[in-house]
Amino acid sequence: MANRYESHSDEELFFLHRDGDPGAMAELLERYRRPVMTYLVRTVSDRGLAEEVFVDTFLALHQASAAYQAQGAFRSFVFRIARNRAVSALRRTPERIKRLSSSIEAVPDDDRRPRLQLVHGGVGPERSTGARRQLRAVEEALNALPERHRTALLLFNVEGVPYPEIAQILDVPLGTVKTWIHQARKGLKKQLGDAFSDVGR
Amino acid sequence: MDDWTGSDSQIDALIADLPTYDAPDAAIAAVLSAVAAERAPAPVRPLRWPLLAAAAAALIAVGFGAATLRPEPPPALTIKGAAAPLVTPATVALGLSVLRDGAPVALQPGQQAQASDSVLLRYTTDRAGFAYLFRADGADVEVFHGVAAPAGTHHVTADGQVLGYPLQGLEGAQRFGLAWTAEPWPAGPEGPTPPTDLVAALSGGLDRDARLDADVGLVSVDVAALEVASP
Repeated sequence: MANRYESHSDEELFFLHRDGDPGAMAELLERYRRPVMTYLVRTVSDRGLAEEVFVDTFLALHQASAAYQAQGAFRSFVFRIARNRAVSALRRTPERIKRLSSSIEAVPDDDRRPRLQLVHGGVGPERSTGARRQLRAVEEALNALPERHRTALLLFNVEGVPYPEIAQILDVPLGTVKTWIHQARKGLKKQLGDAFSDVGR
Repeated sequence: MDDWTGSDSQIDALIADLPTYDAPDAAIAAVLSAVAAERAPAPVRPLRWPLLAAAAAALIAVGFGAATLRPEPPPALTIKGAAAPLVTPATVALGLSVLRDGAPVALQPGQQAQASDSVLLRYTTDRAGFAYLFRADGADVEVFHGVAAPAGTHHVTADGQVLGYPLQGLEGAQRFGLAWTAEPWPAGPEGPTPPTDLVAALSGGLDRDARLDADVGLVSVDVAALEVASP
């Protein structure tokens, strides 16, 4: 069954939403739910807070729809709002920040045949203990970075956002983005020393 | 502690390899509910923070298990094909696939799968509501997944990781189904309780693309069959 919104760009969908289309926002949410949520979880390091900021971000997006003029990629617009909301949330509730650790969602066994089980993607049971330890070390090293460095690196690596667009999202010069990403990588190498002592040689 | 001597591209690969996270369906529903409430006719007494209040109320009132959606009440319902006024049911579709060499391969209706396979389910709805996935074996209906879902295409996931239904222990013809409903099913001892009309229809061989007048309101159903090979 075809989704009638599939052929629309993000910008077109947002204009449709602005004009009252009842399904356009749902399609945008479907496209951005995972990238925005992943970015927010890694930024605020608290799953519950990330979910609140997620809702806050898309409500802010809705409120901004009347004035939207498609200057730059819609993705930049979304992540800019998400980042601003995340930074505000971090300032308001520093006591809620906690270490983010990798976890595998295990479907509890019962006496009958198992139902849904993990089959694909993420940190799965098939990974070795060493690999999981290294992933946890990477997450903790990311959490230790300054927010601006972490954000620049995540947008580049996880979302594949090009440098000029990151500069738009963060409202800084292009050179600053490159510096922040360089400093983020440097900071990670410094943190990862022991955990990866047998990798990369 | 010495710095790690890996390259920048190795750092980038480590970052790219981190798990991703999905927003819970309750958060999606909260956004859509708040937007719908804000677009509805203004209340007599204006709210100070209508959007945030609506979203907060939606999140608090129902938690993260199943956000309550308030679509417009459906008109009079009918069983598809009966001589009765047409309704506007949801359009739903269910697709099944299995992993082959790590990649999902779509199963055609009635196609054979192995008992060692796990079935991946992909479903599409054209409006927000409650989506339930079930396996029907004669009169036995097992509901194994139920979420509040916005319009669009969905996979069965938990924390960004895809889940599948293992076929181990099953044999012969199996029917997997998607049921969409505007109101949540009541919770039973073994999960959501499907309406008796649906169970009866499945027992009678309900096939693809049906609409039912059920005891909890409109239900749109799509069923996909597969054959599990004998071990």
